[in-house]
Amino acid sequence: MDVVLLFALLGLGTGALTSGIALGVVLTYRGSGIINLATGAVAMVAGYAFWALKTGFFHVTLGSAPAMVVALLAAVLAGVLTELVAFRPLRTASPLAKLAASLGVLLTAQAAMVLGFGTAAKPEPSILPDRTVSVLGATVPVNRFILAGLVVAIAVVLAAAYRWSRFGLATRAAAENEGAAMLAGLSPNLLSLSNTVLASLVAGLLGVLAAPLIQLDSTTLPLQIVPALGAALFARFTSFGIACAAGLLIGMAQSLMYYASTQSWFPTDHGVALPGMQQLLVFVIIVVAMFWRGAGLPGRGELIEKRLPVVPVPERLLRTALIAAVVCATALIVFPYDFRQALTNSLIGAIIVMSYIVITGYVGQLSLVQLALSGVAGFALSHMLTDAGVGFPLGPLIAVAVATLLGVLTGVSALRVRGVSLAVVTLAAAVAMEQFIFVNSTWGGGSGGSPVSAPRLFGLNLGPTAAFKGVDGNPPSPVFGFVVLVVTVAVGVFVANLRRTGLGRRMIAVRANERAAAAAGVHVRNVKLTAFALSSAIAGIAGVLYGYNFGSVSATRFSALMALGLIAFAYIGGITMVSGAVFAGMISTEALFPHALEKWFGISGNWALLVGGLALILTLRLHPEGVAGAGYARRQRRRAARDEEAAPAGRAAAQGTVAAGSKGSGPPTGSTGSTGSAASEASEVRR
Amino acid sequence: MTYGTDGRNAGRAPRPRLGAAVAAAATVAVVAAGCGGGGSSKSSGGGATSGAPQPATTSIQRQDKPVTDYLSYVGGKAGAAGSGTPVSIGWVNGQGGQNQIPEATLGAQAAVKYVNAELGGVDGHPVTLKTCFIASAEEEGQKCGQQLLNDKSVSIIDYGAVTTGNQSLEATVAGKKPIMVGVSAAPADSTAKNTYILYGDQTHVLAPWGTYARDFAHAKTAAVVFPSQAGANSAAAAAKKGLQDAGLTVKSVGYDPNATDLLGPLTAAGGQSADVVVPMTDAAGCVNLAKALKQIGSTKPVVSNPLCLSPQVAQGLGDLPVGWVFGIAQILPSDATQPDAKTYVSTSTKYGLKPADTANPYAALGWDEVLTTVKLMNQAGADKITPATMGERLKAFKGPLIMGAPSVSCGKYPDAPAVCNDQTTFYKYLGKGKFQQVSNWLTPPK
Repeated sequence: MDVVLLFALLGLGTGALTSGIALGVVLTYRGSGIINLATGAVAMVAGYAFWALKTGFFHVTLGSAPAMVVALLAAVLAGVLTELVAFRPLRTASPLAKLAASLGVLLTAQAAMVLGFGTAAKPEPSILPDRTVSVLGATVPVNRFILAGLVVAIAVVLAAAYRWSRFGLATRAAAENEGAAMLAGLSPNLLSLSNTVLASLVAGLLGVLAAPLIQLDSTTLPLQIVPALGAALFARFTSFGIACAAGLLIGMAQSLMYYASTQSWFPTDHGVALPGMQQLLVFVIIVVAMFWRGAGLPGRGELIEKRLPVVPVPERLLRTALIAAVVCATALIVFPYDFRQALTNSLIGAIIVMSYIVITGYVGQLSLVQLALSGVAGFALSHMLTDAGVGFPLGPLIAVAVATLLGVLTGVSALRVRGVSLAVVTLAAAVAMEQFIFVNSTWGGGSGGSPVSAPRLFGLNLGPTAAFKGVDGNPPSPVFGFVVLVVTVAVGVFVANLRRTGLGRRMIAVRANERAAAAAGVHVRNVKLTAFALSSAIAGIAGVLYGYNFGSVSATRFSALMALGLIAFAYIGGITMVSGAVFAGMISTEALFPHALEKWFGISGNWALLVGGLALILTLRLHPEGVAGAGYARRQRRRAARDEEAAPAGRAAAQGTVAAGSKGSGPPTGSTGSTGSAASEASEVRR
Repeated sequence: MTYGTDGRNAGRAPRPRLGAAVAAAATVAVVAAGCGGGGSSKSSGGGATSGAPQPATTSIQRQDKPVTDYLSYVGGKAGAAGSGTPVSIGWVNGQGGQNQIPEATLGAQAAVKYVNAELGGVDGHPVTLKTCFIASAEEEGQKCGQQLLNDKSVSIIDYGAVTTGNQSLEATVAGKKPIMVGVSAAPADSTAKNTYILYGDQTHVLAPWGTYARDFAHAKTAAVVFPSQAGANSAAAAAKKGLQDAGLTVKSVGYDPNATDLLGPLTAAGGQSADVVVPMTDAAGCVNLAKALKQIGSTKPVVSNPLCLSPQVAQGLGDLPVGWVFGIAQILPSDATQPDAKTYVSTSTKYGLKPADTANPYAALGWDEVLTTVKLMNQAGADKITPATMGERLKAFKGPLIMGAPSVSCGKYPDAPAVCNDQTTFYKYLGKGKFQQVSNWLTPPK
């Protein structure tokens, strides 16, 4: 019994950290309505700053107190920059865009730390005493009680401040009704900034104090946002007390789960406790919180309807696909082997991004589990081949079906929530799947990954090792490139054409306004589940191709943070258009752009994370439609100009199109980018 | 050529692969006396075993014949290489990203310089390294495989410290060219075609832990503590099996790799009561475990993998943990009492390897692998170096290894045909930078 107590109390340490970050999340949400995924990253920034100042990394060594002050200033600076660069310019943007902006901040902060301090974990100096006390026979480090007491005190102070102070009342007023708050002389911008700074302070403080209990690196603290989101969900992103209590309880539950995993009765995987159980626990907690509290998440009383990126109706689809296919096929033959491989990687990257187009671009659901679903398909393929002897084409079909099924199940778990809340549950799902499935050596790849042999059809090798070589006579064979190309074109045409179908229009209607869509006769739940199924199947196809491409699948390939980077590139390319997916594919790992940069200019990809994070924020601010959307808008302007020359009578209408296109609302081709145009979507659905 | 991270990889957790590092380190020696807190007179911060009843530590007499005459070993001719067509060795290493072990390449490059300057190259032909580095992505392994497979001048591929991309590289090469691995941290290596892991993989060189615990520490029970993570999991499982095969009762407990407070895991593993504590973790984990041992007041013997010999541990504890025993598949490079280690340090520093880098086991491995490759090339003859002949020579290679086991037998294990070695030796840290070799080369328990 004393051991159980010991583990429960040990959990207060990580519980306090979870609570602290959850308090930061609640603060930011109350201040600006943004679910800030970068709160853990701010804690990381403070942790690194403290470590650097204590160890003389900057050739200056400070004592604990001054180092703590400077570290907290660093956290505040990070918060201010986040507010001014990412959050404030997007104040009137959609919640989806705001969430993606916080993702951009997370990636940027992570990259900055990697570039500044390297990838190795740092031993964070501990301020708190490490002596132990005896509690009912359990020997417990006293720092656990200090940390828990600290977050409880912070929660009490915050709750009191929000209830009785003018600042708290003003923040609540702005959250209730921004317009009325402004009329009352309050500045929502200033309130948002103040709350973000407070959130950064709290997260930074816990980052410094609790980092010695976990690892100070560029991953651990940022990913601590996942359990913190669970705690914040229980608090409905509003109650400091509940967020604090839930965080502490989650920490204790994880610790007890760990203790359970050390017992002989606990299920094992090749002799070691089943991995990923703590991450699975957090996922379950978040799903429970979603069902229990999710539907009642408070919205903000903003006046302005949020605009989403344009979803143009594709034109001359087959012609474009045919030209692209011929160009790529030729390139696969004539390119030297390294560029041939880079082109193949680009095509596979484009496919996975296309799954985001369906679920995020068309339906407005930010799913962060797509890459994990790719992994599921990859591992399923591998086990199908090695364990069951099921080869091509049945093996990959089953693998894709498994990914689809899991994707639909994820979608079902999130049916009660809309929009960005899905990001929370899918982020937790991605982390859980990485640890629970992929790292597991029985149904995942274990430590070394899982092999995938080349696809063969009627004895013909269709993989990278096929006999037919390109012009340079070197492997990889263009044959596998052709296979990937055919699949890419097929998926691309399907996804683009989907926008033109009735289902596509229903998806856009759901994205624009679920209630309006339902009023127009759209079965929102079915549309969502169909979108989940389609996007999961596409992700699964990409996973299968990944496996064939590398001859193996491994857990690191499908990590949650990798998925965050991927969605950043999807946004940069253009989250609503197939051409955007193609662009995103070309800038992905070992794809054409990075390969060319590295080969010709010696620019390594270590800066890509930083550039990706910043580019994501800039894209969201300047061109939410991404590179492809910007190109589309340009073409529309040219077309309007031509129309204007050809038919002066139509001038007025054409000008209207240009203005709408440049501001992110839909052109008159039937597309829409605005939730405000839900009525037109509904009428389109009825047509 | 360095292949960087980018694109989707940008989103990947740029976290060092702790598990892989643990696995790799489990098979080689890391650092040595020089990092023992710089000979600090401070006591072990962990104080884990000072004053504890220790296993027998009588100095042992090495029974193997250390390799100290490199000219004779490689079968070359004294003097510089001529200006003929260079003979190429493919070299793959993990560096440039999260897997930062460039010392392996530095060791290999120093060896190439040495061979060309003093050992006559290969039959008078100068030796060159064709390098390809894997930063962090699986794709890079495939890329390296394609590059070296397509390079007709390369007949053999040597691995430095490769922990990522192994599977895709080996799937790409598909046995068409032989691969020589110093130590393996990736299970895929053990079953890869035409691959030879000279110093052994974790599964096999961790088995002698059991022999040591039974015959030298006289232990009946053991507590194994490890970060629950790919790589470390399999290393811990291998150590556990070795200990169980030796008749010990073992409680093996994994912990969250991000955790730094190991009081809980140590308690759960029975660290207070077990006869021997076996940390299968990395440097940071060693520091944390030493602190946890201190917190629970443990005085039990500790038998560790050599990652606990790193400067980070000495920094974190004030000195390396005094009294801990380290099992390694290589002679400690900086153990100046060993003639082969002395020869390696004096020769490699002459050809550009910094003294601090000589202590890194991967630098020593890079050095050793290149010299062994040159030996095999000389055996084949410069004009007969092909992937086929190099594969045959590797298959027939019986040792001895430079600073390694006196004999090897590639293909001894049918389930791991690439593994050539299953022997380990053990050192005890005496403090102030001094080590004592406490066993000869031990084999798995019988």
